[in-house]
Amino acid sequence: MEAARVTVSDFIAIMNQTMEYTFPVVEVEGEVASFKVNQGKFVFFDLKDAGGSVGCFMMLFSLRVPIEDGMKVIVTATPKLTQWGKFSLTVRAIRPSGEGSIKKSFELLRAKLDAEGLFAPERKRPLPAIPQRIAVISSTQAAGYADFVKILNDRWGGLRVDVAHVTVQGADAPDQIIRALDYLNGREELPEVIVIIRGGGSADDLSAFNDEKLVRAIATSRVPTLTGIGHEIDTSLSDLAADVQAATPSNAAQLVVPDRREIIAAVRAKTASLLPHVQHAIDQTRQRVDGLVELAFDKTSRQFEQQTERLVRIRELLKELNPQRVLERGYAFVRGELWQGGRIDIETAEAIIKARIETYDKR
Amino acid sequence: MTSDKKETIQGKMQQLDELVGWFQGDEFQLEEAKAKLKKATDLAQGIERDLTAFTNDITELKQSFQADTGAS
Repeated sequence: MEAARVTVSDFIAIMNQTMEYTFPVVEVEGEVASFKVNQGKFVFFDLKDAGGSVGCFMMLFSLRVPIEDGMKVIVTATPKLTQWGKFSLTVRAIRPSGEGSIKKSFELLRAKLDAEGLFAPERKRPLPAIPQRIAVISSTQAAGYADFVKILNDRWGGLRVDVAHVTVQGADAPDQIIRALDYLNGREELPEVIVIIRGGGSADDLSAFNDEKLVRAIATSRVPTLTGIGHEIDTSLSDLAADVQAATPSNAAQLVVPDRREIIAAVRAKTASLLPHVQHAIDQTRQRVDGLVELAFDKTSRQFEQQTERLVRIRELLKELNPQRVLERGYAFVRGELWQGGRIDIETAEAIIKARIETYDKR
Repeated sequence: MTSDKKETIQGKMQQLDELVGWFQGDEFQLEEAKAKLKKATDLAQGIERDLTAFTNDITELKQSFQADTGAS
């Protein structure tokens, strides 16, 4: 077989075509070494293990998590032979691998975003007490979403819920969630809350919620956000950036709507509390009326007594003034012709005497 | 919940709270209490009926949020 003869440039092109056909995208796991950023936009590092090392290149905007030397990572990349004959991986995405690296990356990003104030308590907005319209970002096939819907329907009714179905795990998850957030924040009729739901999983499963762009998108959402990601023990950076963090998807449903049973009980209690007010007002009015009646009776009685006493006094006076009393004291009334020889009647207590005047001398 | 704000559970609860406030406040008049008490009872019954009967309207958006789908 005769050897193919090609130019250097063609050889490089053929090699790249071959690699692109064989490995259009490849995930490579290894440890980061010689990590550096050039001109504020180009990222270079080596990916190595005990048996070898390969150079990697990526754009800074594709770097979504903090990386430093010694961290174990998985890169999603395309192999490439450069025009200088150097083999490298052109990295599209990189994520920490292994508990230690995931934790390290998490802590680095948390410190950075915390320093920017993204998790500050004063940024947190309260959720509406009784929302009418909410939006949910989740995978509709996920168990966590089913738990959320079950609790939501059990607790409350009459709510309009728009659900944005996204993948909640893997390299595509952060961008899908960001697109859903952007879509919901850009709607003419905004939801009152955006709930981001994801059930439990491993640290790697949940690592999508530690993506820097996603965390920033949650922090800058126009609509208040509520996260229910993983189990009680899991806290992602998305949780820290959200306005309210629920422990689980079920807990998110408990936080976003009140329990109809509690509302019904409260409404009944409110209504029942009104009757005592009415009864109290009736009692007060009755007491006031009773008091007024008593006052009127007292006043009337007092006046009656006063008038009775006065009447008695007048009667006594009249009795004293009765001419009969004068006669009884021995005096007599004289009526008639008061001149000498005139006829007169003399009235005493016992008799009326007719007489004639013998003399009449004026004083 | 209906679209008429007056008929929402929140609207009814606000009206009920205002009535409770009236009963607790200085504007309370025994002459008006009977009518207000009936109104409060009717509102409470309406709220309970709504809360028991209403179901949530859950709609999955048609938009795809995968890359290069033109979701907006």
